[in-house]
Amino acid sequence: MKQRVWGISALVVMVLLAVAVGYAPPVQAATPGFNIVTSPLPIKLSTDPGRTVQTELRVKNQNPDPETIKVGLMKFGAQGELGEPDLFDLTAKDTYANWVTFSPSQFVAPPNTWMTVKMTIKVPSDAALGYYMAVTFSRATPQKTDKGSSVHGSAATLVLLDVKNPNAKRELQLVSFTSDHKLYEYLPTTFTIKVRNKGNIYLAPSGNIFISKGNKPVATLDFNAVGGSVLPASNRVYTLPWDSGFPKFSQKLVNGKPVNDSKAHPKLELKWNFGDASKFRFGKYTAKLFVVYDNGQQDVPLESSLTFWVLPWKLMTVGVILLLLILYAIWMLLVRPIVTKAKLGVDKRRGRA
Amino acid sequence: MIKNIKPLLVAAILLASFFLPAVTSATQLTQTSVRLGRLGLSATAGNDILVTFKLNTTPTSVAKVKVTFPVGFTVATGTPTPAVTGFPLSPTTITAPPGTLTSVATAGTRDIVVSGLTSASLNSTTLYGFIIPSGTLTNPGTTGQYNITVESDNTGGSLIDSSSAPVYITSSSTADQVNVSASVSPNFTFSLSANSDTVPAADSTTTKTSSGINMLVGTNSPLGYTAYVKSANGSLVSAISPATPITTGTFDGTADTLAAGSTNYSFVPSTGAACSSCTGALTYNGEYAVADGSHGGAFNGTGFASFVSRSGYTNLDTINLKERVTVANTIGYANDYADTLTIVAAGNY
Repeated sequence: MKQRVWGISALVVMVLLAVAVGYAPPVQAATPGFNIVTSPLPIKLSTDPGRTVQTELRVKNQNPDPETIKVGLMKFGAQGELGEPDLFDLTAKDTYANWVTFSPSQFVAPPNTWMTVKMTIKVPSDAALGYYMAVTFSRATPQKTDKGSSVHGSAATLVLLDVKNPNAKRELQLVSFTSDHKLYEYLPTTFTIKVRNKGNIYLAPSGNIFISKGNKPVATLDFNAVGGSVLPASNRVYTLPWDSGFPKFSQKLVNGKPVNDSKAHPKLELKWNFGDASKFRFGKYTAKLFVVYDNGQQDVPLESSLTFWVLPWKLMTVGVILLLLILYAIWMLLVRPIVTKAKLGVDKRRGRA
Repeated sequence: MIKNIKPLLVAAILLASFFLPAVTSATQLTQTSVRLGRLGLSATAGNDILVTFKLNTTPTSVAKVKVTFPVGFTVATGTPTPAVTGFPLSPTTITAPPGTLTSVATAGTRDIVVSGLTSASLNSTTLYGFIIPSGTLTNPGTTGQYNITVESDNTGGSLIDSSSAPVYITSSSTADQVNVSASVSPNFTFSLSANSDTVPAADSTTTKTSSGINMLVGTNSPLGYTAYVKSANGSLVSAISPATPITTGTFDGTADTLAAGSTNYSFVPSTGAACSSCTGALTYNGEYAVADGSHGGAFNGTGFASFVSRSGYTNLDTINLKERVTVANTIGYANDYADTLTIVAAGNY
């Protein structure tokens, strides 16, 4: 009897174990983080009121598994003076969001395949001037954790829409044109150009900085070749380095990687590339800035100039010391014996006399 | 007797006539070719001349190679230095002739005589070659086939072997060239290493920091990028203890100091692996410029706040994102404090 009870008990335990194992929840692999590439950026569109404008945005899922991606819309304004957008969620006041549709607005992106999303903006006839939107690509069903922080990611592509209007005011003001120093030991020198958009449409100025020494042209730099824009009622600071010199300070690399200081600024080191020996810089230089923007009717020029010096003072000090040493050696080895000899001759003649 | 000689004489003369041309003209080089750098009408720029040849008769007597161009070509008088390096891979194994080569180009006779070959070292099995640099030859102004003569000469300039190499001058000055253009689209790479991050169990005596996740951003746009964070609640909230959320600090442009025993929920981004190809500087917003373990940046309520930006392109920036928490001893016990962070990165304009 006792054996029978034990046998039944063992059977029950085994069955329960088998059931428990059989119903154990499947182990779910952790979902990888969101990983995409988008192109292009930023997108600049121009149209007339009452028209429809379209553009294509491309996105590629870089995860090994298909990903359901959702397309969303935000807005942006100017933040700071370096072309950094300030992103905001749309509010009920942002009715222009109703003009925008995406096709598709949600889709399954296979791994490593470029998918194209068509953005259509049906601009109403009463629309005018600039609209600054950010199209976001994010995971359609982000995971949420019960404790700790759930982290959702998305990449945004900026779209700058200009709806033509007779009241459009396109005006740029050159606020300042400066160099980071007035005196350099070696290049690079960094020019800073600050402009203010006094109009109501974004503008992208372009131009050149012409560097000369006396009347001799030395270098021409492209200003804003990448087309960075200035939003209305905001400033934009552009920096442009001139590093065509010998020797020159360059970004320090260790194992091919740039090295930063504690403030995350690139560390510099002096490099002597003797192939660039003809680019030895010395003396007073003049930099003339010539910026142009389109005011809707014609190109408007903005001009300014500054001067700076390049004096390799350490090299000059070494040169002066070397020169003094050479002069001293000449004096000691060549001139002094002659003078001494002559002096002795004079003394001898005086002695005879 | 005479009757018998006549047919023999006729036969002898006929037989001799077959051999006569071969006797009076030189034999051909075993192999020869002339490749012009340009085949366009009247082309001069980039028009170098590659001459390849395999000698035939008495190679050890050859001291010069003469290249003669037909009417239509213009040869500039001069002494261009033949190059014996930089040969193409086809035909294979082009070999520099032994010796120090020099050349004389003559406009009147439209020929270039290359001399300086070490005769004793030449053979008939090697494919020799040299390149006359551009600047000596101008192509004809009329399209069509032209036959260029290449001959081997002895020291005195007497002909040993001679061959003809055809070239075809194309129908326009640029018909031999293809303009290649390309463009690279601006692109933007964004990824997160994980979807969640957990702060270790907090108490009122210590500061706790999550292990963090990585945000990776790369872009070829010289305008750079900016990244933003948004907290869904502006605090860590609990369903078990809803009355005591772990609230964020003051969003004022400077990082908050976290002190054990006071309540603070903050965000701490920092630079991970450095980019290997990048320009501009990686700059943290003052709110999130944190260099130690006792500070953190407050969230901008439930709105977006930019926390890092780069003013140039980068192959890949790695930004480690962490949350840092301190709690007062009045914060209710619960193991379900949670929040949702939205990280957005956008290329600059």
